[in-house]
Amino acid sequence: MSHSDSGSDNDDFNPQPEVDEQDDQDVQQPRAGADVEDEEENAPRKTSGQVDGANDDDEEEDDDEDEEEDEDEDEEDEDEDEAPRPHKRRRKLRRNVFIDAEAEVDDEDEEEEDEGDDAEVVDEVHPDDYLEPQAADLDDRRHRELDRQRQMESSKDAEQLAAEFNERYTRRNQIQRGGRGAAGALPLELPTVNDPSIWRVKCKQGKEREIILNITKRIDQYRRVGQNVGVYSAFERGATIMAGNIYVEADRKQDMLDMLAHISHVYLGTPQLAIEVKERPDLLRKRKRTPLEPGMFVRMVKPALYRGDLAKVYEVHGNGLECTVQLVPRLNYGMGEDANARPGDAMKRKRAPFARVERPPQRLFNEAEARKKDMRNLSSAGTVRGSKMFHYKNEDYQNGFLLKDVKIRDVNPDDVNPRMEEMQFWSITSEDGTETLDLASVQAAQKAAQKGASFARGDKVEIYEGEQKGIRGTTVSVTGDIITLEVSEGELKGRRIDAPVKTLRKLFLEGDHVKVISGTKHVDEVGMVTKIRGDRVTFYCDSIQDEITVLSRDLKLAADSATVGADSKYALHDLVQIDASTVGCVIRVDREVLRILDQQGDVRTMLQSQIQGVVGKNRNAVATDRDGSEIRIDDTVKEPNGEGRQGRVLYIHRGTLFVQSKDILEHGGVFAVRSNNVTTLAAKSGREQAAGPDLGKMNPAIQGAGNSTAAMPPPRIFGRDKLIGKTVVIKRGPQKGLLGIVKDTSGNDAKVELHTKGKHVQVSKDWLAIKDPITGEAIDIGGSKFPNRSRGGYSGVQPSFNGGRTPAWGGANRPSWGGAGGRTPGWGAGARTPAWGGDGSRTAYGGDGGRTAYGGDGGRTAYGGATAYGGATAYGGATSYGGATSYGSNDGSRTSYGGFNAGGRTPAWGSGNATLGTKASAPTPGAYNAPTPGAYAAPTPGGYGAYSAPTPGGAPMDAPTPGNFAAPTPGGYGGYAATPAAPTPGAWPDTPWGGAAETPAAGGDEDPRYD
Amino acid sequence: MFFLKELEKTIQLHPSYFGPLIRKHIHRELLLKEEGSSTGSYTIVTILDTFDISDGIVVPGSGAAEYTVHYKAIVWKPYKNEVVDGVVTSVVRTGFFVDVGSLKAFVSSSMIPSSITFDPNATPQHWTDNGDQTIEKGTNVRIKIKGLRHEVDQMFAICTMKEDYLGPLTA
Repeated sequence: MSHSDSGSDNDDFNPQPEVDEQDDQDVQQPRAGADVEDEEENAPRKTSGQVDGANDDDEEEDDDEDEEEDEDEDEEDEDEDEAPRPHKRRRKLRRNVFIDAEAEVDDEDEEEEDEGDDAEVVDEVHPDDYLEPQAADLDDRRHRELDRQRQMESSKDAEQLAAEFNERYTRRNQIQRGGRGAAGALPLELPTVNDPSIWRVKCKQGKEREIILNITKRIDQYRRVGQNVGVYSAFERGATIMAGNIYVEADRKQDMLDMLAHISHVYLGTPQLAIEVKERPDLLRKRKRTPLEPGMFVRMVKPALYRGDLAKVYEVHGNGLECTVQLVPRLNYGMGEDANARPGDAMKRKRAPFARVERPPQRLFNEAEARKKDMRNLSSAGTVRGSKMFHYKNEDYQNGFLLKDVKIRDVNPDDVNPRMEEMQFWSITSEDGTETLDLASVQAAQKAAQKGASFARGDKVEIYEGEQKGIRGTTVSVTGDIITLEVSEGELKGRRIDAPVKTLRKLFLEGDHVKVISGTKHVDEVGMVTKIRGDRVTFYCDSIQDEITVLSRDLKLAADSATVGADSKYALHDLVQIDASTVGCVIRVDREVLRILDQQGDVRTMLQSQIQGVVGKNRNAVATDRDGSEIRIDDTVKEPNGEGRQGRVLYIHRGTLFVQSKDILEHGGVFAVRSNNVTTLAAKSGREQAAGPDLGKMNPAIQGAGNSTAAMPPPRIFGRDKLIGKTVVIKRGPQKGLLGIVKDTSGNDAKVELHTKGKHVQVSKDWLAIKDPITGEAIDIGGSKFPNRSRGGYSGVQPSFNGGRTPAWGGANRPSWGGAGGRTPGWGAGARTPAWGGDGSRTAYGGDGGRTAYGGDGGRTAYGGATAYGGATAYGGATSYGGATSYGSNDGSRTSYGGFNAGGRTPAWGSGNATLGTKASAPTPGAYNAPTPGAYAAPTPGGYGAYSAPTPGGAPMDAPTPGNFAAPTPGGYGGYAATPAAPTPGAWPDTPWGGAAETPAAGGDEDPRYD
Repeated sequence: MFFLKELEKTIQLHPSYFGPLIRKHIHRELLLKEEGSSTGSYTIVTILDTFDISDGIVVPGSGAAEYTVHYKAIVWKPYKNEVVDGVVTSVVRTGFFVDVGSLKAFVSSSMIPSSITFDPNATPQHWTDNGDQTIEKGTNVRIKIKGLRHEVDQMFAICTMKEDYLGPLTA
């Protein structure tokens, strides 16, 4: 301090203006010296006491401040707050010093500093010292007074002194507080209008602290030169919302401006805003920090590698500044590093500017991997609490977790919001292998994050905390974090009450249909609640057929079904093309990915964009099972060996079946299997059989008449032409009327040896009519077209007729009718051929295997019985045909007649009587009757007798029919059944036929309703 | 629970079926299509004989005729808290599935008495109390419906076995 300063101090010290300046100057010097000398003995004690007191005071106040204003401020930079503060305090002291009674004492504090200077000065002016005594004598009254005072003070005992000090300083403390008082606990200490104003001053963002430091320097300077500072405090609030501002407390605006003048980065050009009194406490208010507790989940802030990662507080250190957290390490075990590089190099490279931190994925620490890939950095650190500790790259690992000491400010305990998949690392694997999450801590972490938004109108909620605990109700409205609910139970029923969100939880009941609306990867899943434990709700998910556990806040009651993947262009169980040779069945649709079961039975997870498209369902696709039976879509198939799976065919694709089983749970019940590894369980395509004819479409019975020809192609004749050797008569041309024997045929021509001339003539087969060599009766055989004709006239007609018809009857020709089994043998066993062959075999009706086929196919045999009709007395059948005519009206029978009439297939009819369809049936039998008994009277009974034996197969005749109709329309068939039964016995009371025919009727025991 | 319910169905008939057997066709159609079907909230168990077929009305443009059939049927509608019997169709770690007629039900492990535990090593896998109660595929069980889900043509239920008198039935 300069000399003038000391002078001014002395002025203060001796306020009496009596002494004139000259005098003063003269006198002052020696007096100062005396002062110094005098004080030499007392000062040390006093100053020390004073300094102690002041310091204590300062500290005390500091502490108080801390406690009052910012309880948790420790993590805030100390210097940030404290830098301005000591000065503030000291200014304060000084200020008070001027008012306060203790001014002298306080001043001495500074005087002590001055003394050093003075002493030097004294030393310098030492020679003048000798002059001083006189000067001093001039005004020693005061000195003596002071001396006396000091002596009195010194004579006080220490205790009294202490009490005095104590009283003085506490009083001062109170005064100070009363005068200033920032945001304290007591309202009294809040700022008032009498307090200095606080101005907000704009400054360059990020430079706040620098400015404050400059201000402190400047205050220091001012104080050194003894200039009144006028500014009580200046502070900034760091990188909060108040960034880019500093706050200066001063009595007058000018003081503030003076202080800030020429400090760089301060924008004095912008207007300074005086903070209103009531807003001032807010300037220093700190957001309350959630206290950390072990077991709690936090989000990492600081190490860039782990930023945003979930961590669990393992331990909070005693100093309250640090804690140990459990992290899921992100390690690459030395991968991607130069193994030969010196350790320092890696560090150097990492420091490269703008280097992006590549984060390895979160994985628990794996000892084996570390040992294998990066041995030299690994060491075992013993066992702690029964689990091994590892030391790897200067970090500790336990149970796979990284234990890391971090500053408390490097973790964020708020808005943790852990997701379930993050939590899985902390799941506890219990003895039975089920994993349970430590959801208690999750709840703690998540509860805070709960917002009103997760509640919707109509949610059932329960208050689980506070005075209203246990109240249940329905959400009426949500306003911010306050929820209005209508109480649904108890005394308050019907009342509406408000409750903060954090005291509420959603209420679900077992069996509720819920939907995940947030939080986990299961968003949008829908299912039914199976278990509720506090906040944890387990539900059985509709789409993945498994149980999922989520927190109740993530759920809402669902009105709809699952919407996962609703916007996808692929649907569950679509058959999709994966690549040129691979297709697969979609077994799960997620938001971005599909899970697909491919032909090999492997499950692939693919992006929707990777899929080439949907392969449509080919309804006509047919596959054969291991037995050669056909399999169609919707058939039921079963694996005869292997896993014995059984299911319904969804798709047929090149010998691979995609089958859906209700019993299998994996992959939604879908599996892929080779078609030749399964057997079909449906004799017919299940769907068609079950459904019956579609009444909305063309009646298949009518439809069938049109295209049934196509269904049964005309048989081809192999081997020797049957015409050869036959006695024929030429119907046309020059040789018309001549009888002969066919010697040879080629194509459509026949070489006929004429009886008359003994010569061979070439005649078109069409011109020939076959004559019975015995009777001479003409039999129209039609040569090569004989399938259409030969049966007609021939005795074989009847079998063929029956043969032809039976399948028709049985539905053989019309799959839609699905006659039981009728088709299968005909199909597979080639039974049809004999049937047709049968016609060729008019001779053979008996012998030619047609019979065998008939035998095999009971249904037809029965018709063989019907054949008897043909032979029947005059078609007693005719009458019965009358009944048959009624058939015509009857739908079922009409159908069969459709087949019958088709004629194309039943050539006998076609040729025999083209008009059958329209005419009464009477003529037809007539046509048959005449020749048949006549010609074959003898053999027929025998032959038929032979047939009648197998006829009981007649029962099957019903068999197919009931297969079709029995269930739905027994009525319709009753009549039908009667038809064969009634006429036949009537016509043939004595023949075996009666019995035979009856058998079917009575023997329809496969389906009693048939009767 | 079973109910006798009056129902209505509209059946369309192709002109090719027009004839004396129209009623039979309609009857058959009704039986085939309706019996055993599930509407999502109930299942038609059986259709009673007496039913009323309206006069057919030809649909303009197609030639088909529409018949409205009124009939009575016995229907089964499951209710929450209804006790039902069913047959176990599959057994998994998380519980087991039961077919209750047309209703597919799931009994979660949390809804199985704690004395009955899952035994994954047995063949077939089953839930057992190591006493006389064993639940495996094909077992008849008595369960109580806790929740129902209705879809267009099927129903699904969550059931519990954790109450008195519920559990496997001795055949």
